[in-house]
Amino acid sequence: MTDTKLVHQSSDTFSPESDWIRISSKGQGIREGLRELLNTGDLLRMLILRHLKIRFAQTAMGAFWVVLQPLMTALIFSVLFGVFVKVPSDGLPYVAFAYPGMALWTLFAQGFDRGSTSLVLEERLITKVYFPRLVIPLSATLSAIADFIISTLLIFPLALAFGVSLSWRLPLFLIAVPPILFLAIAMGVLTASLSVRYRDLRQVAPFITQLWFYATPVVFPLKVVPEGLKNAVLWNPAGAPVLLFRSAFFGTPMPPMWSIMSSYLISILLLTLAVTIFRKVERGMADWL
Amino acid sequence: MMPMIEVQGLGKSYAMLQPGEKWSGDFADIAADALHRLMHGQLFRRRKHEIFWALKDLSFSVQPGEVVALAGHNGAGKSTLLKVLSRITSPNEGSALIRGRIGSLLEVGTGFHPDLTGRENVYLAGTILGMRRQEVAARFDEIVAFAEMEAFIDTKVKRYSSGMYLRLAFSVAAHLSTEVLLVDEALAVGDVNFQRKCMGKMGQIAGQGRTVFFVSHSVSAMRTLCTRGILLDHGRQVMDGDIETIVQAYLAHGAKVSDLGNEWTNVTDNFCDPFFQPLSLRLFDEDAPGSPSFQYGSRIVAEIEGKIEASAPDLNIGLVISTPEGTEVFRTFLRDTLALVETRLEPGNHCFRVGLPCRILNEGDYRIEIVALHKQWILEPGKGNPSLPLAIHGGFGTTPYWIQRRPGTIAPELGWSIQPS
Repeated sequence: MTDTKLVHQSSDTFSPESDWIRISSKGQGIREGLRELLNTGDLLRMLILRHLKIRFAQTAMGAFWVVLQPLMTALIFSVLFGVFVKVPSDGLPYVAFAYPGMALWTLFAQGFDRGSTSLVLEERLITKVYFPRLVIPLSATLSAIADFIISTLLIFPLALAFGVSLSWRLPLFLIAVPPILFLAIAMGVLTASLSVRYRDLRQVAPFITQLWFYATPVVFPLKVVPEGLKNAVLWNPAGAPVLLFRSAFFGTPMPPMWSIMSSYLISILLLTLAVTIFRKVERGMADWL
Repeated sequence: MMPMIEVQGLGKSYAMLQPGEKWSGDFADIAADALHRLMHGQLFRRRKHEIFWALKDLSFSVQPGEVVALAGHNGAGKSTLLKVLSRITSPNEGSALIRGRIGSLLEVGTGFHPDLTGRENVYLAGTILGMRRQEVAARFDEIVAFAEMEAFIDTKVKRYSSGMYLRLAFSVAAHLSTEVLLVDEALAVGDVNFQRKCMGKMGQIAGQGRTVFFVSHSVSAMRTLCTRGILLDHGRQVMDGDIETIVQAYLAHGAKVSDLGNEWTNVTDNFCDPFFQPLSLRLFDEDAPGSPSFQYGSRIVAEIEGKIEASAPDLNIGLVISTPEGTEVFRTFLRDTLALVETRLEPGNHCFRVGLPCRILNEGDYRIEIVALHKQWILEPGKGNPSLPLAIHGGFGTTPYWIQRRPGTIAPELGWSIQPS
């Protein structure tokens, strides 16, 4: 049928064909899904805003709690690793060494955690109204960016307090953020879509985060890693970004170029996989929840 | 003209789990199930699920501007159809094409968050329901004015009374600007005045030339708002025609349900409310408990079983008896009884029993529904509550005087006397 021709004849009654909705047992195509997702900018923004408003409205010292988590963890590790075990810290005071990596890692950990629980938490919305479901884990994970910005800003007074000078490489920190964000979204979306059927998976998320944390050079420098394991740490898609982030602020050794590229590649592949699985689960989601 | 909505061979099925089988999603259960199947040597055998078709072979098209009533009894597939058309769930067969944006008003308060202010919630719920931010901004004043909430719009929603909350939530939903609207009648909320306003607003929406699907149990609402109807039964499309034909068929259809017996049981955990959740409704003849039918002189007993989770001092439970056309014959409440007027209802399962007056209801078909209120309606009359058909047939009086149904809505047998004057 030449539907398109007819549309022009009655353009008052019908909205443009791009707004038309086709429902079938086969589900929607990738292009349609993508276009729809791109149309939900307003919704994504509103949902992120909601996360932030709720989070900051409930606590009097909202911003303070945001900073507290990475700072406390950095302090604990500085006592443990800096004072007791005396892990080398690339010539920096240990807190200054650990904090930037911790800030970036918290972006991953929080983004992953919020994304993975999001679908089950928003069960009511999913069973009562339609919108591209990907918006839910996406907004949950992206809301962690606000915390990240605040805790990153704290690096500057921290540097001042410990008398550490900032590196001229500072702008490079922007390159370190996207792979971590992709990883957080990918892991969040992946666990979220599987936890619709297997509720227990939500319990697994913190466990993965913890293991991954020790496989990432957040609280130790790369040089303490035995030679044979160094490559494993660098293949870890979270490894290079953390090293790069710290290096951008405080001039610690840069990770090799290939590891940054592989980090981008792996995180994007993982993201694609996660979204593919999500799209498979998406159609039956309301029936399972 | 091209139809606004084209539905072809639409079907939606669910796999029903076997009795005793459940899917909790816990690893422990999954492992236990796998072990069980391993021991019975059927680990790799595909489980046979019974397939239940909630919708089957639906085909129809709707022209722009048509207001279509979806009629049918509970479980006929009305809500499933709305869910499929609004894309909340996807069909297993067939297809539908909708030439425009679609908005669904299936529940009041979707997307509201108690910790946000009224203003923030209007924007949030509006975008969740499919409006763009600018559209919400353009209608914001209108939305707030309709809800009569100007004074409290910057107060957190958790400080609202439930009436205020419902008013604002309805108002957001009612101002959607999509070409197609799916509306559930349960949306008319709040006190009587606001409900009237809600229905008025729906009528206005229907008159704007937009395409509307309207689900309702109320015949009068269907007649006022709709031009056409589609009657569903057990997921099948039984009839499609002008609204009067559908209403008549719907009413005639209602009378047949009495074949199903005199008992309603809450199998799906519906009507969940902490103060009162109905579990079952049963009608029986006190003199002949096994008898399936009632006569004019039968002493009919209605028994409501219900669950109370939160102690509710003001909870009141009752029954409404109405004619198939929806005219109420009478209502009766627990608190009508003097001895029970101040009884506190404690958490737990309770059985409420009442004897219906005999020798009053005239020969004919009635519907009896559970109603409940606690400060406000939990089960409001005429809103698709648990109900049973009640048919009174035969036995026109104690004396042999009447040999057929007497005229009149009710047929009370009164005590006459003759005095010498």
